[in-house]
Amino acid sequence: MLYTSQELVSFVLKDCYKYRNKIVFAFMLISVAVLIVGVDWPKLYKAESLIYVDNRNVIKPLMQGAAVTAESKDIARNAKQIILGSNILNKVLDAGGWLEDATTPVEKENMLDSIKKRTVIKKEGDSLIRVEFTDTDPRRAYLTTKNMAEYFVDIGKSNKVEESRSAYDFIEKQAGEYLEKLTTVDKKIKEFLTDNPDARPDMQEKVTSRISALQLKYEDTSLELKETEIKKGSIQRQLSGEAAMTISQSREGNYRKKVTDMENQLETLLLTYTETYPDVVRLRRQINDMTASLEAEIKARDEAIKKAKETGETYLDSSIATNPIYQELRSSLSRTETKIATLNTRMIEIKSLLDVEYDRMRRIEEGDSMMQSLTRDYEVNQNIYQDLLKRRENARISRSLDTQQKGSTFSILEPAKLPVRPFGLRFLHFAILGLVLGMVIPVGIVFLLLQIDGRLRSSRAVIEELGVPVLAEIPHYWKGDEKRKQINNYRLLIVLILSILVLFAVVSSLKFMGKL
Amino acid sequence: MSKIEDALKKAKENRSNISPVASTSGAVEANSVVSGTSMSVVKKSASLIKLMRDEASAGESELTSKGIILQDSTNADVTDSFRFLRTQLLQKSKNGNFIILVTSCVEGADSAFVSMNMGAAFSLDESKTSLVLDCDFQSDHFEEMLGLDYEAGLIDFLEGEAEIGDILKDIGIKRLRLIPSGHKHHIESEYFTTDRMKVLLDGIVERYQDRFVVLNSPAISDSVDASILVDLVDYVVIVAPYAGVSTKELEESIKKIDKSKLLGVVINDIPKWL
Repeated sequence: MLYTSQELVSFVLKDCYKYRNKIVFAFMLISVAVLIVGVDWPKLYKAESLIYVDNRNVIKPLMQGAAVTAESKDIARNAKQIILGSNILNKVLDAGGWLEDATTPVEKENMLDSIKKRTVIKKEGDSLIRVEFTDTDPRRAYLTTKNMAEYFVDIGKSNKVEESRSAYDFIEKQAGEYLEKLTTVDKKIKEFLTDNPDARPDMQEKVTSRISALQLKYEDTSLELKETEIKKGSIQRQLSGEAAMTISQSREGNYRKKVTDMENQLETLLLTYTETYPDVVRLRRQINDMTASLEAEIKARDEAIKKAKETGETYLDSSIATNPIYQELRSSLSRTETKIATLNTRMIEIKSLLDVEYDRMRRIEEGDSMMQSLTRDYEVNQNIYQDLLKRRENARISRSLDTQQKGSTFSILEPAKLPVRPFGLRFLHFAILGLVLGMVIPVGIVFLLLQIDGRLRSSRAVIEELGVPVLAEIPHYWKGDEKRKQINNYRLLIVLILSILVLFAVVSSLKFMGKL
Repeated sequence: MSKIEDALKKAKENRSNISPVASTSGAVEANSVVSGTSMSVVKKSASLIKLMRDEASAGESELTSKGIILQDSTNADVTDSFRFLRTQLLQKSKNGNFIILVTSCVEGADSAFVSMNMGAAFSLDESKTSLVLDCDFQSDHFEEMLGLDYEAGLIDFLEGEAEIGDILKDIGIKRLRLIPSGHKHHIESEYFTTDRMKVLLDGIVERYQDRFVVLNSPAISDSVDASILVDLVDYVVIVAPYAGVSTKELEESIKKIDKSKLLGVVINDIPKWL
């Protein structure tokens, strides 16, 4: 059944009437219960302090671009870890007079836990941290917060100095390491160069040009050799049997020519002279001699050839051997042969030189890659080293800055104050809460019961759901002195409520006077 | 001596004065009804009733203690509601007199209170008289409410053991008569189906133009009597206690009643702070 708000108010009021005694009883019970809780509720005081924290990492700007540093963004968590760490907390315990209550280690541990629970550390803005501490004793709350903040700032400052010093040390150490590396590589390069004289950077060029020169020479020599060989062949041919024969044939020719000349002369003489003419007769004899010589020549030559053929030697006519041209040829041949031998030797020489150069070339190439890697190492290390040197100077400055506390990195912006007023739920709150709850809970229960009670209350429901008109709604009839009794009942209830209010007033005033 | 006591005493005296008159006139009525001989007698009796001295009135405190409405009283809101109810009924009946049955959907809806006060509401109007019949033979609500002794009533009349004069009671309210249910120790059969009941009702209505008859019946959910009585009356009103029945229960009860006779629902005993 859904009621309109008007109906709801009316029905709740009617049900409240029905359960009035119970409601008042519940009101008394609840309000007094809350009041008792309120009386015993501890007063809590909260002290707070605001700390400025420079969360910039020292090493980060120093190593900007050179190394990646871990981001530490959550300064509140860091601060929490530092403040609630045993280092500060133990100091706080000592300074705050906590240890009077806690003597055994277990008690101390519990005390520490309770302090941790009551401490709130939160970040405000980018670089502010608020430290709050809650305690029943305002003075202790103040002292604890103050100590926490101060120790934290102290530690923060010394950490900062420590951090910049260690940053400097770190960079210095790194620079040293790189220097060492650089030296090592340098030494290595030197050693390498000593071991590999060819590994000098200009050697390759030299060797290359030399190789090309040698190659050129080789080619020239080989060409010359070929030429000389051809020359030798031709001289040899000239000196061969055939050539001798040619020479011999030319001698034969000479004979024949002389014979022919003499015959011509004879014929001319015969024209004028007779056979018996002495000139003719001398001529005839001469011709015969000449012919015989010719024949002997031919015969000798043939024999010689034949003999030469049998022995395989160059046929040399004695006449030839003595021939100056032949002599000339022979000496030329011998010279040529000498030249060939010389050229051959030179070729071999050049070849071996080339091999040497090629070998060297190979070694140069090998050495070159080695050299390159060494040089690269050297260059890289050198760059880093120089960079580190620069950064080391920066670090030196920031170290001296932090040591002299010039850069404000940690400071207490708002020091802790002695809390005057308790925070959180105070007695007054409980008093009000008790009265309000005492009223709201019973009425709320009545309200809820009404929601689940399906019994007919509304005439609207009769009309709308059953379609039957409601002729009248008759209120309760006070019979006899019922009304008077009712009023008495109300009086009693009012007296009860008033007595509760008086109780509240009395307890409140006692509380404010500090007697409770 | 307080004023209240004074009033009480006065009221008692008044009652003792009026009672004989009422009884006599009641007897005349009863005789004429039962015998039913001639209409002239009836009419004569009617004029008699109209002329009857009805000054005797119960005191305010007495009525208040019984739960009966008054012209001006501490329960003026209840009186007003009943007046409003009366107006509603008159509108529905087009100002003619009628017999109306007040039943309840559950036991404890206090239909006795509603029927009694409905009668009282009619009688507040000086031009109207009313008769309240307690037809609830199953409970003693009516008797308890009015503080009646178990005297002769409707049962006795229906059984023929009493005459109408014996059962017609004046309880000290002007223009109002009451017939109690009577001796309930010998309930045997369904009395309302007898001719005597019908004759009684017809006679009452016919004789007095301005007499309104209110029948109090037991809860319709528990009793057959209520259903039978529905047939005998002109209109039916059903009483539902505030926060006492579910819509479904009320619906069940309504189903048992002839739609044409049912005028509506009266929600009773709505709590109030003062």
